[in-house]
Amino acid sequence: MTDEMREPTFLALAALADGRKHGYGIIQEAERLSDGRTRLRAGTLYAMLDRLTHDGMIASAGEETVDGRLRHYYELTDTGTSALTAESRRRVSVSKEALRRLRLAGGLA
Amino acid sequence: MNRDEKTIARLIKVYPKSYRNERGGEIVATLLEATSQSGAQLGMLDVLDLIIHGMEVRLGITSERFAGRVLDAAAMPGLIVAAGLSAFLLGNALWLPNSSLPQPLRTGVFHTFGPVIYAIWISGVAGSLLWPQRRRVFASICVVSTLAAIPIGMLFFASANLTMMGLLLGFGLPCALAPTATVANQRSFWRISSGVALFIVVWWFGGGVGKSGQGVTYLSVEWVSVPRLGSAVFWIVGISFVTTCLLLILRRTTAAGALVVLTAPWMVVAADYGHNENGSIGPTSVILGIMLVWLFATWLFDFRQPEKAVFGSA
Repeated sequence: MTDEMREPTFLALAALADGRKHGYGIIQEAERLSDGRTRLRAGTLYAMLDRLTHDGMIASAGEETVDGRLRHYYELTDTGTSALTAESRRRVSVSKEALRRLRLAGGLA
Repeated sequence: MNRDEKTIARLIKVYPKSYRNERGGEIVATLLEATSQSGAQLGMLDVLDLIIHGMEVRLGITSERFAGRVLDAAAMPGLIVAAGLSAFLLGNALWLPNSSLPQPLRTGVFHTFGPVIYAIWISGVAGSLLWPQRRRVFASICVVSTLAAIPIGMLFFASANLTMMGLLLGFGLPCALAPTATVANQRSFWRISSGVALFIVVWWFGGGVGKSGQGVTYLSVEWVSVPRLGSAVFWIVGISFVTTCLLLILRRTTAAGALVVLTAPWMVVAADYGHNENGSIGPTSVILGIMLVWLFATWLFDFRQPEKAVFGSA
């Protein structure tokens, strides 16, 4: 049985797909990717980052101080990239099938 | 320092010192950036979210830790057993304050709103199966509703069925406390089937064992009576103990821990009905005690391990 990835996890990994980001950067990107539907809160975000780091899906990618505030960056690992690719393909496949059925049923112009 | 900065500085103390040293500056910076960029103040949900995560870290029940993995594994099976018990109690109308019932069944005004509690549990497990990502919310609603039944019962000068409520709470708490999983795997075959299997064990032994001359008779109204529960506990705990040992031999530590967590609620029955007619409560408490000591020792050992596995890589 293939496990389905939770939406916030998928969004956080997707946020890192084009390069490293810091905590607030991930929050912003996840919100943008979900059209504002998902807003990650800090507690949830850091629980997720701990878990994904532990699972080897993301890794620390350095720190820097901007405007006096510490930014810790994260990036996808090979495992994370594979998991994100597999989940993205699964979602695309489901969407394509749904659209195909809608066309067959005449519900989609 | 503005109001948000003061609030965040206070809030961050909910995390243990080691975590604050590792992550505190980063979390504070993220929160400050979020509030300054959006122009909004820190909301109640943000505060609650941070407190919950801080407490999880403090108690060692994050998903990277042994306790977190155990609670995660016990969450859905526990809810399923609780829903099974609720369905049985609801279906058998064990909620009417009927004074003609024998003493063990006359459990007061709790049974007048018992159906509501049972319905909440059944809805809770249904909701958790449909929306696994919300399982903690559903389980928390079940737990809080059941706890609320105690003072409400007291208002009407009647005592609630504390044993049943204790069992329900014991089976529901793991899900309310469990960290959210990376993947929505709560509907997996093993989690659901283990919950159903656990309930079948309860159902089978709860109704039959110890009933002389009639063999195994399945769960009945009599099941909730004192001697029936008392004699059932020994068998339930015994089977759990043997299965836990087998799981440990197979190095399935998380599954073994989850089974101990799901066996622990029966301590309520063992403690409440200590005068079992078969005299089997003594050994039951000892067996359950051994299982709980193992669980506590394993949790403590894991809790004292440094967090480098989580934060270390750079």
